[in-house]
Amino acid sequence: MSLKRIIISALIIRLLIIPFFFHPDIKDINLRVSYLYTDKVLNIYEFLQKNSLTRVNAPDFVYPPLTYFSLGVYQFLIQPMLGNSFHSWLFDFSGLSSTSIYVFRYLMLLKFPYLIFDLLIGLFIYRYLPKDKKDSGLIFWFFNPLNLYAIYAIGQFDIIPSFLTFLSWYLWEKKLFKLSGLSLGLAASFKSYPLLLLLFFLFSKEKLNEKLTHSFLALAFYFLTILPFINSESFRQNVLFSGLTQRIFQLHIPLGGFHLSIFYILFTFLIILRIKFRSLPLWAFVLSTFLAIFSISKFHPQWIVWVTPFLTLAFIYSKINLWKIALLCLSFFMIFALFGDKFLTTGLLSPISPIFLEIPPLTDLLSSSQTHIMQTLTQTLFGLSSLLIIWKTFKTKPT
Amino acid sequence: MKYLILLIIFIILLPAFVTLMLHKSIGLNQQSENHTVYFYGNQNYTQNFTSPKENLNSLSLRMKNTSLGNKEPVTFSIYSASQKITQLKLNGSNIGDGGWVRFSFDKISDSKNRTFRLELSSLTSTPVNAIGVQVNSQNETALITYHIPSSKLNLIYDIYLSFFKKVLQDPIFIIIWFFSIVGTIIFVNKLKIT
Repeated sequence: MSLKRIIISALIIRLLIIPFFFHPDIKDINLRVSYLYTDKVLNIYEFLQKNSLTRVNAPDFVYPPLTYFSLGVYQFLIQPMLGNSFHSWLFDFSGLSSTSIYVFRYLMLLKFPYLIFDLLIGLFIYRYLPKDKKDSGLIFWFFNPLNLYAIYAIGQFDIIPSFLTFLSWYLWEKKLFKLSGLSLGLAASFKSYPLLLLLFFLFSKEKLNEKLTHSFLALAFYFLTILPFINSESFRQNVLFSGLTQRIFQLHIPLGGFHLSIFYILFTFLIILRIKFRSLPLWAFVLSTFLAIFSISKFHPQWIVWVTPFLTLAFIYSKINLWKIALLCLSFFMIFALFGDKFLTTGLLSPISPIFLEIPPLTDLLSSSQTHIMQTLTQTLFGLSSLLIIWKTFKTKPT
Repeated sequence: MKYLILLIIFIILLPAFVTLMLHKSIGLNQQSENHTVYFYGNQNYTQNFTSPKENLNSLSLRMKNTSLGNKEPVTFSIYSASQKITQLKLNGSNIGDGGWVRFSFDKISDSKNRTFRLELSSLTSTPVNAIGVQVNSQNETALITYHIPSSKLNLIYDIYLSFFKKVLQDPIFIIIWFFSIVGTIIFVNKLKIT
């Protein structure tokens, strides 16, 4: 299959999904960022805390400031195309907002930037892979259902930090350590999770001053973007100590009166592995860290995009069987079918017809004990397939 | 290539597959709104509508309980000619500050092409805490009717038909979407990729 045909097919499939699948999160986040130009709000955290009217339906903004400013500026720029009804749509909390006759246009315009970051990841995968693996790597990246679902059907912005993290890894591999650090800092300024990876960069076999410069630049860039807000109580509460961030530490082992987070145990184990096997590829640790987090926490569907660029590398370099990937996909989709939110499944089609909102979530058809058993089984299956992938990844020949 | 074609067919047919799980269809779907008409005391809200399908069994109205200030009893009734078909009682606190409110009742089998009158009243509400109904510039209620479908095939046909009608209602979207697809193909074809 020629490269042009791969790209055209990828884009056509994306353009078939972008305008016709809707999850309310895209509306909620765009409501929050719209305050940047409608009310000229600079500190969204304080604003949402104080404004009782908006607190009813938009209680907080849990992402770092750069997300607010960049998505807000983008929305401001496309405002003429969005039209006059856009703001009343943002404030439609009826649960039937997808029935708006303009919803296809809104979704098309709001999700459009994701296409660029998605294509850019494809470009860097293409550039990195050896000649005989380029096509299969690209096909895996562009046509895996995890990406299509999480980036375009759900429509969250995680593809932006995911691209910047991947770019950071790519620049690191090309020995451009300063740029890699800046890219990681920029990624963390959209969502804080890439900071978790700093230690894996630090414990690599590169020269100490290069590693320190990398970490310094990543942290400096991140702190520079949050510095104006650091004294804001609402910012610290919503971003630095948000429920979302705490979610990864939830699973723990009680040891006497002390609770030891399983995340810390796994993370420490991975760091030890990194120190012991420095020649193993960096992407293997990135992939393992995220798969480990997802296996032990109640993660959000869009988080899977943090993993998929590195899963593509694992698919190529570690020759991971497609059935293992299929098992991961199946358990992933089952987890969210059992989430109890119809907008994660059939409700995504509500722009096509609101009648799809009439289908109850799977959990409504099961008893609570059946739901619990199914959730445990699917989470276990996800953990098991992750473990199989991680195991195979660590058996990859050192580079 | 086969996988890609299958993927595209799957995406296009996904609504049809999901429709197989459905037990309801949509009849009237009037969603445009222009202003709010309030009802309170002896001032009831009434609107006639003609059901386009059989087996009407619920309808949604776009209603407004400003600042959620109304907690008074509200009565919803449907009449055919002068005969009361169904009546539901609810509380103002069940109505949000701008949103769809669903009223479900026993199915009306012979509802196709029948004209009904819906009536909303709230005797104890006052102009200060009155509940409103959203209407369009022709004073037609923002209203969606739901019906139990006679066949799945009809339902699939209805869903795709209403989808295409909805797409055609927004020419700006069609232009953006069409040029994105055509532009993509032209742009990628002109790229010199090695």
